[in-house]
Amino acid sequence: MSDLERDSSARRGRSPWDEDLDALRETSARDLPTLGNSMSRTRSRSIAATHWKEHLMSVVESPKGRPWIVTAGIATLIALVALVVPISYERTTGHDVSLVLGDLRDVASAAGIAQEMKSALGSEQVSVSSTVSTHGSNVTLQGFVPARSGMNAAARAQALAKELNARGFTASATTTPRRERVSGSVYAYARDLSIRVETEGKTAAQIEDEIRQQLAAAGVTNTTVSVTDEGKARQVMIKAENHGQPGEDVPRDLTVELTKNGAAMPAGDGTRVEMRRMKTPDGTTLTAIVTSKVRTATVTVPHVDQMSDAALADRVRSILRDAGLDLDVQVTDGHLQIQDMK
Amino acid sequence: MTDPNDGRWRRLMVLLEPMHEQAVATARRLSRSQADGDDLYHEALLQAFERIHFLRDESRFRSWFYAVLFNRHRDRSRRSFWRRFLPWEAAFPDGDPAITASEDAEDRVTRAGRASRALATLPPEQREAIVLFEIEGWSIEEIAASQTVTLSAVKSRLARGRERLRRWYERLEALASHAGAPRASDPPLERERRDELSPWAPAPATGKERSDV
Repeated sequence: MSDLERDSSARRGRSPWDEDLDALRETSARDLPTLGNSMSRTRSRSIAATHWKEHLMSVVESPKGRPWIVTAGIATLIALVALVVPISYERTTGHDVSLVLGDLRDVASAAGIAQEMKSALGSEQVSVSSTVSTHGSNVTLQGFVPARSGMNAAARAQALAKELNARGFTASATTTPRRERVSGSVYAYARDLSIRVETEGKTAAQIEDEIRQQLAAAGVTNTTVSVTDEGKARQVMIKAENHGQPGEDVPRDLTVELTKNGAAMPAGDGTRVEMRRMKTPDGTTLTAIVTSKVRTATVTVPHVDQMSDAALADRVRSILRDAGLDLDVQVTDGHLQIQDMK
Repeated sequence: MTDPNDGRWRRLMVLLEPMHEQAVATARRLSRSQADGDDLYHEALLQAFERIHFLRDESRFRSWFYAVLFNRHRDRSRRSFWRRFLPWEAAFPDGDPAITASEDAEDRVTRAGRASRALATLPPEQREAIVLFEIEGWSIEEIAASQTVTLSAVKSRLARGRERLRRWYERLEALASHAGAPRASDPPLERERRDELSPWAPAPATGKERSDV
């Protein structure tokens, strides 16, 4: 606390609760557990969370005379298997990039362009093939960008083609996701879904298409994507629904990162809202992480399915205001929209 | 068999060692009771363990861990069971620990219990701001950094939190004036019952009269 702030407190005089807070300060600092004790209890809690699965397995093995246990046990066993047994699934391991140079008069220049492509995409190698016609040679350069590079291969390829066209070449680029069947735990599968979209130099329609394509390539098809330009502002709305299976305790998280010139969008560029609705038998909980300029607030509202539009809007507005965010909050038919004040 | 997570636990333990006691005390002050605060701290420890591999700069561990603690605190505060303790009437059954004229009549445990109840009526962000500023001695800048809000937002939370506390204590005084608050001269049964209401009361010694702490 700064001296100014402490002086201010003194000038206010003691409040009725000051003595009580002093007492709370004193009593809460008594009989503190040792660090070793706290760590031990926390580790036990962590181990207990995994042991319940083994306990359920033992219940399933002894169902004689208790048919209701059999039913519950089988249902649990199925869920348990889905959770811990490795499964195989398709995953995008990278993108094949094809750059076609049409009517190329100087075929030797293809080697230099291949080097540029290798550098731009970070590919380990670029293969070159050509076909000859009366107009010249069509040269196709092909490279592979692994998913682990984190690079937006489609954007880089398009940017390269655009630059080549500006230099007098006739270039076009296509990008195809390469999908392979891999094995992994359900947990790993749930964590895989993360897409990056480069926004620099692209129209709203192009960004919208790219988001939709990446989501589809990642197997998320039940989506609504909208990118609109409103004056100097660009609004990006992505809605993806995922219905978790019983027994899943790791909901599949969707992360969409918008980049500008390859870097994450700076915080100053408008308001970003990540929203999730978790529906359980107890009701629906809405969680929204709202970032506006340099401030971030997490809004959590339980039982939104039982709230009116006005009540939900008031609640969200109040939480954001407490967090220092003064934003426009609208709820229409249960759909929440948060944006900058107009 | 060696626990494959031993390395992570050890790393967390080393980083926590300089600030463990302060962090436990903070968790208790944010919570409704010592047991609740210790539970909050263990939840934060568990979450910190699960996320320790994301921590790149260990010099920022203190602020990182407190962010985990505050997130767990807010999540717990918003669970439905917590809301059952918020109605003021339910917090003060007959024989409530009212404010008395004589400070000698109030022991530290009872006062701490009353402070806990008062703080429990605040929204989690205001409660954090009040606890960190008034009890922990954090500066407004430190609070703003930990809550990832502006200085004016922290000042607003402090002002609103103090206003809520003021109204809470006014209602308490009004109730005491109306119902006739128990005094230090009350029979021992009343004082014991009042102490039972405080979550900060230590367990009474068997066969002995409980002494003030």
